[in-house]
Amino acid sequence: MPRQINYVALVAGVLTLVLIAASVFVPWWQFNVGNPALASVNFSPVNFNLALFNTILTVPIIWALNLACLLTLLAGGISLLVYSVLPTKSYAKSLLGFGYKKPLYAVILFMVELIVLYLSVTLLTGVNLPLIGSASLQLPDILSGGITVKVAVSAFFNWTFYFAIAVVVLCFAARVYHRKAAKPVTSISVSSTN
Amino acid sequence: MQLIGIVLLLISVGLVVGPVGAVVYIYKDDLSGLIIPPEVKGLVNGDSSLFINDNSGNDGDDSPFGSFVQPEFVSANIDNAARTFSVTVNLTNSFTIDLTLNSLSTDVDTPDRQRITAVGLSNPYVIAPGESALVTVEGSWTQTGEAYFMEHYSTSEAADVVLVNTVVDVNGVSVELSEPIQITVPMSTSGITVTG
Repeated sequence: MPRQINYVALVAGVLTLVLIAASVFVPWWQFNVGNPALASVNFSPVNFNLALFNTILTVPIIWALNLACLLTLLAGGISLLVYSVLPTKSYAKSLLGFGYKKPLYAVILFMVELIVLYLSVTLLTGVNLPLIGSASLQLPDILSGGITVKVAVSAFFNWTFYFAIAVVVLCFAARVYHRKAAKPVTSISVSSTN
Repeated sequence: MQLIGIVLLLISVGLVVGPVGAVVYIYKDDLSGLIIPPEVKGLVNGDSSLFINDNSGNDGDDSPFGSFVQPEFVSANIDNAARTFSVTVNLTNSFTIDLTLNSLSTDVDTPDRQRITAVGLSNPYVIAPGESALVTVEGSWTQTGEAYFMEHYSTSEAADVVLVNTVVDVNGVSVELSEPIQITVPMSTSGITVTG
C-alpha cells in the first residue's frame, strides 16, 4: 500500500521554516529616517530592532518575545512536516491543528503590533507616519524648539511579508486538503474467474 | 489523542513562557533593563559613543557637535567683475555614520534688512565618519548690497550681517531657521583671492 502524504502540508511546513530563516534577516516592514538613513526600524515577528546611527538597539523583552514567536513558528513548521508524512494517524489532526495556524498568528500579531506602533506615534507626536512610501515629515514645534525641522522618511513592506501571507494561505490549503489526504486508501482487487 | 493535544498545548505555553521568563530572570535585579537598551542607558549617563566618533581628531574639544557646526575657514575667491564669490571651509564629521550635506542656503542681509547676497552649497558632499572635507559655498552679491557695504563698512575691521531664510539639509533632515541670525564677519583679506 503506498504511503499517504499531504504534499500541501509538506510544502507549507518547509516554507514555514524558510519564512523563519528569512524573517530573521529580512524585516517584514522597514522604516527609514533620513536619506541616507540616520535611523531605521526593522520589524518582523521574529526580529524587531531599532538601528540608530548604524548601532542596533535591542530591547531585551522584545527580543524574548521575538524568540518566543520564532520558536512557536518553528514548532508549527515541524509539526506540519511530521503531520504531512503521517496524515492518517490518530494524532495527525492534532498536529495539523497545532501547526497550520501558527503563521496566521504571526501575521495577525505583526499587523496588530504595526497598527499599535503607528497609532502610538501618531497620537503621541501628532506626526503621520507613512506605512508605505516616502514623505517629508515636519516635526511638531514642541519637538523642534520653534525651528522648522523636516525629516525625509520612507517605509515599505519587504518580500518576506508577502511570503508570510502566501505561507498562511498554503497552511490553510493544507488544512482543507487534509480531508482528502486522511481518507483511507481503498484497494480494489480484481480477480478473473473462468 | 487527548494526550498529544495536552503535550502540544504545553509546548505552546512553554515556548512563550520560557524565553520571556528567562529574560525576566536575567534582569530581575534591574527590571528597567527589560525595556531600556544598554546603549540608551549609556546615552542617558553621558556616553555619546553611539553618535560620536572618538577618532575624529577633536583633541581638547569638549563638543564634537561644535566642531561640526563651526567650520574652519580655508580660502575664499572673489570675482569683482561678476560679483560672485566662493568660500571654502573645512568640515569634520564627528559622527559615527556618513554625513551627506545635501544643501545649505541662506540670504545675507544688512542689519536693517537690505539684501547683500544669497549663499548656497556648490554641490552635495558626503563626509565619512571621522573624516574632514573641504566644503565650498558660492554666492553672488547685489549692486545695492555692494553700495551699502562700501558706505558703511569699507574702513571697518568687522561687519554685522544677518542670515535669513537659512536652510540646511543633512541626510534628508532639513532644518529651516525661522529667526534671523546676526553674525559678525571679520573684514580680513587673509586667505582671500580677489579677481576682476
